[in-house]
Amino acid sequence: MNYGGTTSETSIGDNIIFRSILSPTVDRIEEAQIETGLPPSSISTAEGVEFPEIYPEELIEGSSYWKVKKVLLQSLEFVDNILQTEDEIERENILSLFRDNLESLWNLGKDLDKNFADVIVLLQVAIINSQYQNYSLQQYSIIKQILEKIKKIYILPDESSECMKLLLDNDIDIFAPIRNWEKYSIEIKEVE
Amino acid sequence: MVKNRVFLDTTIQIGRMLGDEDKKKEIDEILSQFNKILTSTYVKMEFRRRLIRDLVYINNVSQDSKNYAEIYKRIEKLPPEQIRKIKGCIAAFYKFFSENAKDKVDGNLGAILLEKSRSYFKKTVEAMWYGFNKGINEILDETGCYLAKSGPILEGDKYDNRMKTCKRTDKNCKIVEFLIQNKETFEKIYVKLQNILESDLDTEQRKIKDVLENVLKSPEYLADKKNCWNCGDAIITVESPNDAKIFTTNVKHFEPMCSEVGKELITV
Repeated sequence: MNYGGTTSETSIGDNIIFRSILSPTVDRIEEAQIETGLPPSSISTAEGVEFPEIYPEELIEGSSYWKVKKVLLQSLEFVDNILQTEDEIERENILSLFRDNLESLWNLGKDLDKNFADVIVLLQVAIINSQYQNYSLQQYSIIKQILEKIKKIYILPDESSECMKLLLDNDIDIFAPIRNWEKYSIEIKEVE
Repeated sequence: MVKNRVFLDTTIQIGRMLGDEDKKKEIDEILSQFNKILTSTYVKMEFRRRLIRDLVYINNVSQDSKNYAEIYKRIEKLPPEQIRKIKGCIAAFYKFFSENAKDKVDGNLGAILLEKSRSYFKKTVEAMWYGFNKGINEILDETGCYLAKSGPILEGDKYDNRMKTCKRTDKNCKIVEFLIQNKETFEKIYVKLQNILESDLDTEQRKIKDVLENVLKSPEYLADKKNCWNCGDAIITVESPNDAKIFTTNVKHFEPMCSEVGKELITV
């Protein structure tokens, strides 16, 4: 049954189209082949192919893609700082900034790619939760690993699932937001 | 001391995922005392039709509601005990993300959190289904439960969690064979329930007794969904291996059955 939303298949297709059309160099085509995991025949090769005169979105300074990429590089820097510091208070200070950074990343990236946005929300859960639970360095490394995985921004549903599994398999409690459901209630009031 | 095997029932599987921190910790501590953790496909089916069903509901309602007011209006028509759980999950999520949120003053928080909740619940359904197997050494399949073989399917941003209506005329599992193979144990459970004063039995125990009375005479009727689901606790009691302790929070239902068939029970 299709409820009229974007199907996984469409999403996969979009991703490949984006990569093949907007990649002007041989290197990028090879990268696309590696990243999608598809056989070379399913993606145009450089030989005999004339690329349209479109620059990759990532090279257009100020584009949404470029902005997300920039903030994501900052995210990676924050995790690196968390991994390097040995001072607990310093780590908490960085976590607080990292939390804001992820909020920016979600704001900028949510309209670019749904699968990407889904992973960012899970990372936000992980980081908010880390303010109440002590994570090991291994767990922060997993967060870094996930950021590396989604660095290309346009990700496949399977890649988003892999990120979720990495979090669960490493005991990062992504169910924390609803774990205390018995303790809470909210009233909703409609306002003008 | 490391004990041998423990069999997790549905309440514990749900408690591992959704119990509060203290309960989760308690469950984890108990599990760490065993060297083998078991559960079954039948438990997975129950997990799907309880926890997964509720989360799929929250996800699907969130995906096509404009705001929280609309979600709450839709929840109001559910049975009271489900309203509490669904609203509790939404409220807990809201609370988790809204603390110290900068957007609160703009009055924009509801819209932002609704958008996040669409991502969150979509991934959480998948995570819960995946998480069922986490830390489990063996998933028994004595009943061959067909409904546990596949999980909810993501169609766009919504899940299709429809479960096939099991009928004795179109049987896809081994539940009847399981009943026949373990008839003596099921009979013991039936006799035990029969010997408890009617006034001391709750609605669910009465249902188990009534179903067992019928299916012990005509085993094929257990392949009907309603009968199979109504005597779930009896099926789980019989399916758990004799040397494994049954781990449950539902002591009221399991204790009389376990004591009758010589199985040990543990709880939190």
